Amino acid sequence: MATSRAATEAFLVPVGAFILTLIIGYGYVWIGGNIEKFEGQETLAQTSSRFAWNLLVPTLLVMIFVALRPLEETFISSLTDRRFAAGANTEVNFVGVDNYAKLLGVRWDMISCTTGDDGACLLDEDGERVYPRARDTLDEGYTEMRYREVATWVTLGNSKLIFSARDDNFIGSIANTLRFAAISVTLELILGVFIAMVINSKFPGRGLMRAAMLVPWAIPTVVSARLWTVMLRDNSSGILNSGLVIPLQELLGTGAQSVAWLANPDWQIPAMILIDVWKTTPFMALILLAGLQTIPEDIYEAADVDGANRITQFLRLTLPLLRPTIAVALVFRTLDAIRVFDVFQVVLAQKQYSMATYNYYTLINSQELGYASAVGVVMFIIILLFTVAYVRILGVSAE
Amino acid sequence: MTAPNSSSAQQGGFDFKPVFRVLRQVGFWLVIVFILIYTLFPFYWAFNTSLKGENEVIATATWFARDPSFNNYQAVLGNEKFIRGLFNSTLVAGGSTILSLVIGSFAAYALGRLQFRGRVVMMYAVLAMTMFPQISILSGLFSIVSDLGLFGSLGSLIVTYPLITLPFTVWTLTTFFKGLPGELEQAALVDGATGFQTFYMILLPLTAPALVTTGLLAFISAWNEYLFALTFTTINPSAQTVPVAIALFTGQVQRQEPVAEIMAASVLVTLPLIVLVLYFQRRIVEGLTAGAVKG
Repeated sequence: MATSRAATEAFLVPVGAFILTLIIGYGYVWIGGNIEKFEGQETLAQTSSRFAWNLLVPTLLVMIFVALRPLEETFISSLTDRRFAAGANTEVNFVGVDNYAKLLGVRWDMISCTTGDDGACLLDEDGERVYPRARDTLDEGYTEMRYREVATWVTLGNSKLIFSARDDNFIGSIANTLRFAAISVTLELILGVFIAMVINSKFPGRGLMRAAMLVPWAIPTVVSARLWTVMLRDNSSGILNSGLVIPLQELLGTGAQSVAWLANPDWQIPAMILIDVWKTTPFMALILLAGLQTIPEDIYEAADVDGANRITQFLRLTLPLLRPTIAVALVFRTLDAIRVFDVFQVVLAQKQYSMATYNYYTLINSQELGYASAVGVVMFIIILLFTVAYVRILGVSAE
Repeated sequence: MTAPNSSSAQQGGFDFKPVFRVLRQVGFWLVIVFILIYTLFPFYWAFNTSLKGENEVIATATWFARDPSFNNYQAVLGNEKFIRGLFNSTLVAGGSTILSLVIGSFAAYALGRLQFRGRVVMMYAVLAMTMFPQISILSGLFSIVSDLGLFGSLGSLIVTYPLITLPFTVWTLTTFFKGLPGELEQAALVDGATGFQTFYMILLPLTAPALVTTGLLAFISAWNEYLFALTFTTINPSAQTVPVAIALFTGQVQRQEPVAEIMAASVLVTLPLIVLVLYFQRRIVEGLTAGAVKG
């Protein structure tokens, strides 16, 4: 532990001095402003205020010790090459922003195709142009920095624009997570509104229905992930294939073929979305249902009198009145989706990463605590940006 | 001209209105059934699979087990790791629930009933904690936990779970505290009660139902937590909680993955939650929506 302190000391001294200056300065101003009050009796309001802050001390302590201090520690570690579970006397070096540079290092390059003797592009057996490997043609830095090709952006004539990253796994995990979050939250919202509207109409057994919908929400994500792994098996032993996909294909007359949900990389993220949508749509529907029930009945009667049809009523009345509820549900679901961990870790392990599982594997499997911390900081910033944007756009209020 | 025309159409033609009504009813119930199947089918499937033998599990899926037996349940209940996981989970979820109820009710009383400068800032701070990404502090928290010598112990989980359970405990309880009538405190003040006496002798008993609801929500979220449990128990399998035990489940015999046993374990873990949820259904919905809609 002592070594890690030594490594970060140089950085901590100015920061500590700055904070100390702030505290002393603020304290000086506060005492100056209150100097007369100390001589007299406390007013009732002051007693109440002091009492309130005393009651809040435990909450503040929890905040500091399980949120702020670890966050600070993560920030500091992200600037070092510290390792996970290393011995106490392992050397820890301050590496500045190296971790971030590696994590976020990306570049775009144009690559020309391999030409034959006549100057025209060589073609392979499929008639596709042959391109040289990026690291063979590009400058020294490309290989030294261990860039790897992630995707081809566009093809222009005889050359193509390629996108490379120093950590292709992390860049991939950002893409996976954002795709996962965008699609699953959208689907959950649409399905959730639909289900909430259905349950909002009066019918016998409505209470039971609400209870049934809480069930997917209540079970551990790990259990639901395991459950779906069994249902999504890629042959006829998976019920989704033998019970749904194959009968559907036979009905449509296309060749019956099982979908390899979890083995085929193209289907892995859709499968994750399917599992997440199943688990959280009912919860979304319950929140929306609560919002629906605050809308008074008589405005619909008035709309009926005015001759508005159901669709107009939904678009002009229900949606605008439901907006605050939708806003809150969206904020929480999006943030949850961006930090998704359980499903990806249990179902996909290291086949494809979400940002959170990538963080976990760099910490536990690669034991690179410093590097994992940098991943954590990047995630923190992404989530912070989303939160600020949402609060700005939707005007979420604490009151 | 028009009046006789329309009446003749009604007399002569077939009246479609009742038919439409019946069709709409049927359609509505079909939608309900579909939603129910959508939410509950996976559980049926887990149960169905848990009754099958290992060979039947990897054969073509059948809607009913050919030769249903409870062997898998016996195997799971004889699995020491799983039983210890249940015990650990109860301890950890119970401990952190009590911790966050005590701390949370203090904070909620202050935020819900007392006027003081910085109240709104504090509400935002608690809200920010709800949105706090657990994964971002994983490595930092790991360093702190190991500095405290708690790495690999159940204590590490009891201490860190309030990060997850405390924020919504505070929010939900604050809502309930706000809803209590104001005369109670005035009466207590007249009778000469101190602020703390007013809190724990008068207001706290009145929020007992809210405490049960919030406690249940906190318990469920702590019971289901996976990331911290997985990370902090990597060196000590005997401190694993149920989700970790299920994720890393290995059967008595090391061969292929014991799918049927895993499903049996899943059913066993889910059943108590389902019972709790069904029993406290109304209150859970109220608690969730109070915390979530206002938050």
